[in-house]
Amino acid sequence: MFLLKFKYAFAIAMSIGFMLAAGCATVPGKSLQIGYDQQSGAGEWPDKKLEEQFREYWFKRFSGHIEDAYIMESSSFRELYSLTKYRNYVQYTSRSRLIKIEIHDIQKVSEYLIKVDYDMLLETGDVKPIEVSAADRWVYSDGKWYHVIRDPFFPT
Amino acid sequence: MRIKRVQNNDAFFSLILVIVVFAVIITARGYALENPEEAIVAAGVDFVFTQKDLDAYGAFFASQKSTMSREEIARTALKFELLCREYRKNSKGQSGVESMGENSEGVAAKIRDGIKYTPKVLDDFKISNVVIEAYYRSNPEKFSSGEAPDGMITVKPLDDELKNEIRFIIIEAKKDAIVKEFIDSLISKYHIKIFNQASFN
Repeated sequence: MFLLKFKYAFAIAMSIGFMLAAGCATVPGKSLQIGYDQQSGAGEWPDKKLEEQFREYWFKRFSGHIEDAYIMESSSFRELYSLTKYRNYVQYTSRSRLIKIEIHDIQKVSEYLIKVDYDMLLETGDVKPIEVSAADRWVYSDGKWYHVIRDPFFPT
Repeated sequence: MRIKRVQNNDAFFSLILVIVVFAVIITARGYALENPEEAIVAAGVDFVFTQKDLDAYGAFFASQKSTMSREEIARTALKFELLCREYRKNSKGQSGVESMGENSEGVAAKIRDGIKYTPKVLDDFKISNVVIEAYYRSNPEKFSSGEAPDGMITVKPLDDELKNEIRFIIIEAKKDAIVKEFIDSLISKYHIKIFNQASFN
């Protein structure tokens, strides 16, 4: 009888342990808050994996994981531009804190290219957070979604 | 048994090569102490680049009203010395200017030969199909064949001709980096050691 009670107690303790471990494990970018503009009817992600990549990418860009973010850039970008040049370009963003992203629109530009319009709420150290409008492009290549930079700093 | 002997021979020849390189460098450096203009700036297997050579490049660029710094001249000089050497090695008898001495004409000939070798360096550079496809898919506007009724851009098919076009675009965009990478590979291949590092920084 005592052994049976002990078995149950052990099973419950193990379950709680597993749940706690799962809850504490950090999923990259999970903490980043993403909202959707209800008025403009933001559109839908064509692929759940793209939403995950988008969230993870911006989390990494703003949390100083520049090398990880670089790997998420398209392979043609990485062929053209070194990690050093990329680091020089993105490191200024690490100075701000990304509070939230609100998505306004998700459009298919072509069969393999998606454009995402969004606003970023950034804490720059000033009194009030600032809102920055931006547009991202994501390409499906070699079985995965990759970020596409469009900036005069990186002519293609 | 035979394999072992071949390996021993390889090791023996490598050892001889290293001894020869060091002997050349030590002799040349000793000579340079008595002749400062012959001081070695960089040297390696079958390669010696002296202060006199560097001064000849300096004089040549000055005559061209170049605004390059001393360090840029040193880096450029080493680049053309190595490119020219590859060109002359790979096109025996075609150069016409084998050795012009360390004067402006000689430097101009080396630069010309170095430039002639650059297309081969760029042609030999490998770009994977994954990179070409990523470029094609990331830039549909560049390869547009029109617009579909739903507003999406339709693109030309990625055939061999288009793949070559994209390869050319990428090569053009990174040609300086490709040549630099090639020069670094030659420095490593010929065990070139830069003695006067300050000149190149």
